[in-house]
Amino acid sequence: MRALGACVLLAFTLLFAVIACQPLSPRQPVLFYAWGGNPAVNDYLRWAADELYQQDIELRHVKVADIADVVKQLTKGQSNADLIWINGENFQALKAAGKLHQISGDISQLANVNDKLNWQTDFGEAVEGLEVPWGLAQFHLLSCSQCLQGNSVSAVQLLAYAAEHPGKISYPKPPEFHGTTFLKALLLSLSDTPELFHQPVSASAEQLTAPLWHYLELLHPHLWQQGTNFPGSAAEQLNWFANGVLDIAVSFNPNEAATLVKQGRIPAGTARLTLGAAAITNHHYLAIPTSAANKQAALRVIEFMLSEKAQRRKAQLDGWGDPPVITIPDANAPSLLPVADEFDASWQPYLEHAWSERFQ
Amino acid sequence: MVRALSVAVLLILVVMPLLAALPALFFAGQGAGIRANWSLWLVPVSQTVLLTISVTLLVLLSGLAIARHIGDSRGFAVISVLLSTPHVAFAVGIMLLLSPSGYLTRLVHTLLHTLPTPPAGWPLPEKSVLTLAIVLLLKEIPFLLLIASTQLRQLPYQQWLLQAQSLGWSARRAWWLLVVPALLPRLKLALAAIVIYTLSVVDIPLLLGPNMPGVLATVVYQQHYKWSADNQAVIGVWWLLLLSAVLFLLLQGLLSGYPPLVRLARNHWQKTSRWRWHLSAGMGFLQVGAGLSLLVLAALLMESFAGARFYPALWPQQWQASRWLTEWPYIWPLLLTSGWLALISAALATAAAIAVLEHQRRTKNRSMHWLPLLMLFIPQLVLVLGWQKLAGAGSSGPMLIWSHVVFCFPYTYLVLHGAWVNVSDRWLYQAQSLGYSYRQAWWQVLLPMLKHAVFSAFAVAFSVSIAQYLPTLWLAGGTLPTITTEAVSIASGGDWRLASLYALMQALLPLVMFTLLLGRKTKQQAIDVAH
Repeated sequence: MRALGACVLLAFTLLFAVIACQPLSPRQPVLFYAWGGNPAVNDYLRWAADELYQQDIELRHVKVADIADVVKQLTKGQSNADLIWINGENFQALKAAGKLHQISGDISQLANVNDKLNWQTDFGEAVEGLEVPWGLAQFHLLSCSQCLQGNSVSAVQLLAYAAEHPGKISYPKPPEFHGTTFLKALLLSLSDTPELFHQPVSASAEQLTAPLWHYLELLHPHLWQQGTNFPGSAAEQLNWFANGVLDIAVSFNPNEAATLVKQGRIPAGTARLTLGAAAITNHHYLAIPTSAANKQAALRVIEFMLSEKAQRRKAQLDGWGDPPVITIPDANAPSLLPVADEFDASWQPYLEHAWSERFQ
Repeated sequence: MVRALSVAVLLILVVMPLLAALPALFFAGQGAGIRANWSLWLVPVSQTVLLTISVTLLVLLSGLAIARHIGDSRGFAVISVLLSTPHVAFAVGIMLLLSPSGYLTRLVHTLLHTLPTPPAGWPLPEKSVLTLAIVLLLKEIPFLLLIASTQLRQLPYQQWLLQAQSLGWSARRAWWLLVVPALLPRLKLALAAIVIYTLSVVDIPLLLGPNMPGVLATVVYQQHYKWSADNQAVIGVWWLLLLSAVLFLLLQGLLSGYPPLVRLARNHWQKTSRWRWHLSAGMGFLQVGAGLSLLVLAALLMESFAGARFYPALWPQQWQASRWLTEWPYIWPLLLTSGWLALISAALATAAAIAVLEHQRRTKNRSMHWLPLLMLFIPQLVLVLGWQKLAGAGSSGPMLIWSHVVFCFPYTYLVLHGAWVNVSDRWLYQAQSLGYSYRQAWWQVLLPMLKHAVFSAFAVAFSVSIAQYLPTLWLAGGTLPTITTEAVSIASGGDWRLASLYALMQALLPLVMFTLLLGRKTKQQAIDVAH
């Protein structure tokens, strides 16, 4: 019993120590809620926190397993987030709920953002200054050195490969966003009128997507576990790919083949290729919720994240390898993949719903 | 005084959390107009019912078969290790060992050169109901054993066994026909907790369960995060509640069906002795369990040092000690936070359970009540969302500790119950007759007698607190990252090498606590014998 008593006493002492120490920090804390699943991103944010510390800002990376948790809190409850990393449907939900600050006017570095990038719409939703681009995503496949060849593979070629190598192909289960994007890429490859997908879903949607469903009926019997199960996430698929269970993985980071080989996460010789002629391209953003307690400090963090120093570091292949969104002079920046524009946002729920109706 | 304390505990730890969660329920009520989409729920519901029934039955049968040997201290050590390994860490470890590209297939290939690529028809694929069931079994049997061992202490079952043997009964017959009927009713609420856990656990099936479609809890979880207006999550919550009720009734029926079965068997079961066979079977499970939990820890340890390690290489192609070195400065503050949070929560939850049970003991009310266990029967997601609306985000400290205590309290109550309500008043009377005051007698005689139960309860509550994810993340608003919140977010990225490191560290704290508190078994046994 005495040991137990000592434990409790120790615990309370620690508690008071922790509470007492907190107000001593003179720096402005910025609570940055961001996905914490990628060690390379986490390392990058540790570096950024060290840099910002010298500017009297304490950047705290609050690692979440899914940023949707926080979006849910912001729209329906409360959150203490000062800064969040979002895009797509999470952005839409926050925009619709009016939970984001208008910040584009306050960020001087925005002038340096590469104007060739189509970042003003986020999955078809107008950004309207509510978020600021941080990096760039391009959907593509990773393939082992002896598997798929070339710079791109069409939907038809993929089907032929799957038929020859049963059980070696799969894709993350929609509505996981890599999975849904996989469907979009197939649609672009199969469709005669790809430009129609930049418009909202209309009455012709069923007719437009018919080739995709027919194609999947043919493809699924050749998939891993005959399409009765799917990887739950791109990360899971990546692990199976690394161990030779599958011949392809999916990725949104155009430099990921290089960075992951450097990390020893996937075998050397892994190649990247687009599904269809080009890579569906979108952006990921930083935004400040209206409920943020430290808006000014959060703005300074964004300013730093868009600086040349930070963007250059972010692009390094021995780190995160995320392409810069600003124009960096003399950069030997790794090449981007051919760009295909993102679908209108209304296609996202339509495809997810139609897919689960048919294959769930 | 004790009565007031007991009422206060129940108000603060059961009634208040329920009331505080009401905002979320109201909010859920907005979706009441939604029509159930039957095609969405049919497979998950039937899959979940099958899984829950078979897992619960298997846990019960194997738990009872093993329960007789857990007085053995080695056995207890195994249970402690299995029980204290946080479930996500355990699931990751099992996957590293047994998945199609795991150590087992690699070993087979290294020895026989028969599996150049991970086998497609492997009986334990990464995602299946079977894999899920096995991990749940391995996590739940030790829990039942812990409860069974605290309840068995209250039964003079060794005497019954001896008497039965002297009448020529086999040990197995005596166990199943004499001891089990007395033990079963005492396990009812623990079994109900197992049913609810199997029904509602989310993180293990997300990792290992099927997803075409998933089990009920994962479908509810995924629906919860959907943005569409057609949000079926509310209906899912109702499904969960309905299934809980139905399965609870089934359990009740099963338990009350056992005594008639026993009467039938008493007349027909032959009397041959199978003492040895039975003993070795029970010890066999413990050895397999011990081996497996050690292998899990070893696999996590190896993975945390691994560089590249692609199938079919048995050993990592390179080693990376650097991961430990670079992560350690970031990990130890997390361990400290987790540690003090768990120490305080476990101490408070243990004290709370003692208050409630002391009241029960004094009023001679020996049955296990459902009220203190209520929080085990409600999905955590709903509760925490409601609390957060009430308290606001970023309310670190008191609110967070309170939430941990709320979830630890049912476990301390379960673990302490058997020992506490059955301790005889005559110890207090004897002490008083020797000149102690009532209070002195309570503190110096009664409490030390129940020391082992208190330590077990504390250790279990400690590991429950360590494993809390949602309350820690949401109520502290990220201002107090713990080893668990970090471990879960890192595991979501699927880099098992780093995730293994965090899982190991997450397993470390409860393991240390169990070893510290329950490793003093030999001294305890001497006391037990003296009684």
